Amino acid sequence: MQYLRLFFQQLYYSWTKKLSLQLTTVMVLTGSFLAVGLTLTALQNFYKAVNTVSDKFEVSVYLEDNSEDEKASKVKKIIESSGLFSEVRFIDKEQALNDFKTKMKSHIPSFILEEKEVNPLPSSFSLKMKKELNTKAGFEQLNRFASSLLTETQVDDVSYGQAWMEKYASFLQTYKTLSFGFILFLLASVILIIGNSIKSSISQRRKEIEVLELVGATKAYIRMPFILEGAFLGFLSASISILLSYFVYVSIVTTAKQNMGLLAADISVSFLNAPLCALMCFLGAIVGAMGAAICIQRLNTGWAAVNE
Amino acid sequence: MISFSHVYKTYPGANHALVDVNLNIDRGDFIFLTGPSGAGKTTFFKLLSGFDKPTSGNIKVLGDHVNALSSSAIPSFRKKIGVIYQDFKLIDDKSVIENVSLPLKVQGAKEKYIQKRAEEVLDQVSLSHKHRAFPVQLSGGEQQRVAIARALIHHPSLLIADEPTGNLDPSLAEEIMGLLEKVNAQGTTVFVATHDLEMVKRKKKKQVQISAGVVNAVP
Repeated sequence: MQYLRLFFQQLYYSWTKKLSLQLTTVMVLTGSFLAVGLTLTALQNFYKAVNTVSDKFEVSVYLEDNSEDEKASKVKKIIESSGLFSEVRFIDKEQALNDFKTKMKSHIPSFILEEKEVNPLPSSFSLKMKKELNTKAGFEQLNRFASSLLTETQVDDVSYGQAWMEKYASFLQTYKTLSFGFILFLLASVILIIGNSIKSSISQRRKEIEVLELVGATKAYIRMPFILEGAFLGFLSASISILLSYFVYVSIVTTAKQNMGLLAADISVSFLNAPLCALMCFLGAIVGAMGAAICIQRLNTGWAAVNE
Repeated sequence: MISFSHVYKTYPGANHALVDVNLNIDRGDFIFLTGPSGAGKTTFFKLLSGFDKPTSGNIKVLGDHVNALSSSAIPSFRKKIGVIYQDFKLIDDKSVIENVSLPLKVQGAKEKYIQKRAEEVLDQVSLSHKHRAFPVQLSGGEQQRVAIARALIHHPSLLIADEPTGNLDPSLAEEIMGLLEKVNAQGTTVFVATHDLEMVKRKKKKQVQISAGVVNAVP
């Protein structure tokens, strides 16, 4: 409570005595957080888009011709116990042929397969990977599982577009790394900006800090208002940047809808969800407090007042 | 109450500010520390008030071994003493009563008590009528009285003043010294560093002389 009172005094002082510096700081910080917000929005929608694509991705496990039902159910058990798949569907020879005919008809209407001809298609399992395994590690797990499945005598082949999967996983990883690297870079600059603003506050209040030391103020008493000020600057800027990010997002989506038909392309986009917005505000406050904490390291070391 | 035992203070470059200082001051004393500029008065003052550590030796003030205090224990020590400076060290954008209240606020005292006590000490230094004024609206003597009120608000057992009349004309200096004497008469130990030897003679108080870092009690 005492620290809050000191913080509000500090805030009043900063915003009345050095309004232009505070405004400049908030504007620069807002710009940085805006970039963070837009990067997160892009990342979120990118994941959504690739998940939409990967939802359609299936693994096919082809069984040896003439596999017995008993052996097929053994393979099914192995597949299910792997924990990699959200859906396991058995397609017997007849159904495989029917599916094949339907597909061929839509592409080549004149295509007709003689009823008397031998059905060349094997029974198979069609599998859908769990969403959370759409990562490089998940695909490596799938690779290992496919290799082990091939050792089963009744399994003829496992097909899941291995080359595409590897590229997809690698791309996903690179995009994620670059995005987080960019966000970290921005957050580091936020720490420096807030640190400089707090340094300016300290230099303007040096005399008061000295007097506080003289009358026995503790480190926490002297430092806490500056840390809270840093946290406030970070929180305020992050909050404003979320509002701005939303307007930028809406204008981009509207433009894309009108000119590029993006939404018609089966990819739905969305703004940062509420927990992510809250996280960003929280992150702003934490980064702000960190910036302030770093630059007050040398402030009030107990013996400082007269010696400085 | 105050004891210096074989205290040495040497600054970089073999600059010996204090040399083998041995001193004992009793509770309730009024002591003048005199000596020419550069003799070591400020160094002595810093060590006594816990703003610096000796190179060697032992300093005991109000039961605390000041030389052995950790940085986290320093604020507690400073809360026991009152300190007055030549340049007043008042906060310009705080009113008189806010400046005076600061030590109790730092100690987390209740607002009602702070208000009552601030009014009492301002009355003691005859500045009740200026409690809402800001330092820039006060004369030098008034500013020093505010500083004295601030140093007294938390009932310190020891009041240390570094050249408290250094920036004041003789009549104001006399007024401030009279105030310190009043405080001393109420039981507070007062330690005043000054180069005003005329005043020291007039006041007939105990005197400690410092010259080239060597301290001698004047009989």
